[in-house]
Amino acid sequence: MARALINIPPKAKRGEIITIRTLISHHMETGFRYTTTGTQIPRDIITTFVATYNGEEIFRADLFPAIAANPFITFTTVATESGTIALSWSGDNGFAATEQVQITVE
Amino acid sequence: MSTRHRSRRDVLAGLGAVVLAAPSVSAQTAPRVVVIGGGFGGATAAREVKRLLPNAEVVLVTDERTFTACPFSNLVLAGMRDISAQQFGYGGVEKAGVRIAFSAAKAVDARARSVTLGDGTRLAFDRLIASPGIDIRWDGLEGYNEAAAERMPHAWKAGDQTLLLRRQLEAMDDGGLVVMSVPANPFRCPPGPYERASLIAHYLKTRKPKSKLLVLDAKDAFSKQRLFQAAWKSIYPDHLEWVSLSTGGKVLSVDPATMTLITEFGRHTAAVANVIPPQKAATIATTAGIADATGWCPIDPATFESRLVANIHVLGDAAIAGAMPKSAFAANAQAKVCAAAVASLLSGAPAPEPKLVNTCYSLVAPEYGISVAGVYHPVGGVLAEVKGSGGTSRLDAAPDVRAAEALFAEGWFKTITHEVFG
Amino acid sequence: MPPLAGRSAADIVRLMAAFRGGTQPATVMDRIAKGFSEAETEAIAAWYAGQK
Repeated sequence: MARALINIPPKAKRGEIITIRTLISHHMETGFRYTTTGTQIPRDIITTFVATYNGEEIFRADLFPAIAANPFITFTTVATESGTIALSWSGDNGFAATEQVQITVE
Repeated sequence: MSTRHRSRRDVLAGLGAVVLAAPSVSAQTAPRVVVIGGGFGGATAAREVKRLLPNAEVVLVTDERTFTACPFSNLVLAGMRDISAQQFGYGGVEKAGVRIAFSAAKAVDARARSVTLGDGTRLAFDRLIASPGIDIRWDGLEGYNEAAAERMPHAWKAGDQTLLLRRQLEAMDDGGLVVMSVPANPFRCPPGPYERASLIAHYLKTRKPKSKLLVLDAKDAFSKQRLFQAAWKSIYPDHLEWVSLSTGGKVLSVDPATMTLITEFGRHTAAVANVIPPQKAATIATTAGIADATGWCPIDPATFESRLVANIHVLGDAAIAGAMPKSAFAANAQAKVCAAAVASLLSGAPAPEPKLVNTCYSLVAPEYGISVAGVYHPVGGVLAEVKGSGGTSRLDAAPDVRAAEALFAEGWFKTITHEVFG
Repeated sequence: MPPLAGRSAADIVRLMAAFRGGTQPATVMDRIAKGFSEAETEAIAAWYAGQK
């Protein structure tokens, strides 16, 4: 399981704009590199990131080989109701990771 | 023979040697050179210009009567050295024939070729050499201003700030958490934060063993990284934790009232906080128009003449010197090259092709020194490392090699300060 | 580190070549010597030998 760092405020006021920050450890091998013996190193990257808020998709990103290792993604959303914000990453070689964070909206 | 002859004229500043035919000054009047900055770069440049052009009128502008050197100041923090060992006057520079103006440089008029001092005096120059060093970017880290620096010292200019941080470490109870924040590149002394982390960890381990140092870094990679990390693992496993950018180390803001450092993914409350903030070329560089949008000064790598303003040369930490790090050794080497270029240009001769050397020693513990060295030359308009040269100490070096490097570090400090200020 | 003072130019050139070639034990001089060509080393040596 890849290590993910997440920063989502545990509490927010209704209607408040909150910042979500995530960083997941992943080497993001481009597929463009060769070993010293000339063999191509196969591509191994995260290709998709999706965030949902109580099941509803609020943010999505496609990732490409030009994205550096340990991709850091930050975005904002409006705190509408208490519940779960789920973040998932998926990519090459069946890579999949999901993290869930609870938020209380008052 | 002709190759040999050329190389004698062209090789510069190898190991501190300036191999240059003495320039003959054609102008009837004595050339006037003003140098801004009394650190390793400025003081060296002033002395070198005077040595190469004995009839020149050389004025060094510096606002402090005593210079406090940054290299080795991390030992002061750790209680291993007295600050007086870091301090130097300008008697030696004056004896070398340089006039010292103890004042701040307030403005530079590039067209009129004059520098205005704090008291309104104007100094005319034919060539200006600026080695003004760094200033803190006070708008670079949320919550960190001059008042905050009194609670969370940067200690990135040696002197009162160094002593303040030392007092705070001494006053801290055993068991306290020390937190250090390290900025993204570029900044003064690339290995400096890691030497400091090592020596603070040494202080904690020997004096306050229940305490710990947490290093929050805005980078994933740093100078001499493998050497430092290997040493930390073996010497300070319980006293030093380094948090890299990709493990959430980047500090976004600080709150001096609560001694809190806020990173992208968490908050850390410190008993003692050392915030090394983002930096830029000293303010006079911006005033003079020699700093670009990055806050640093672009230069020609052979002459150190500003890319933005003619007849002004910039060197040391303020300059964008390509592959060369912002170090005292680099400033000293650059000053010799720059002085030779200025002397040549004032004599109507082309500036020679330089080669520059840098060595940065770091202490990981007493009698445990490591180094990174490099040889540089201009390639395609920037200073690049000479291929095949340079590098760090060996990862597998024996303890006696580490001890020798610690000794050479001290020898280096004695030699350079004697050359520049003695 | 062998001191420079009092050495002849030929001696300095020989030492620098040994540092470059890795035959002279070193901490930092091997890394620095590799940055200079033969001709440059000779120029440096001549300068140092001329110092009192």
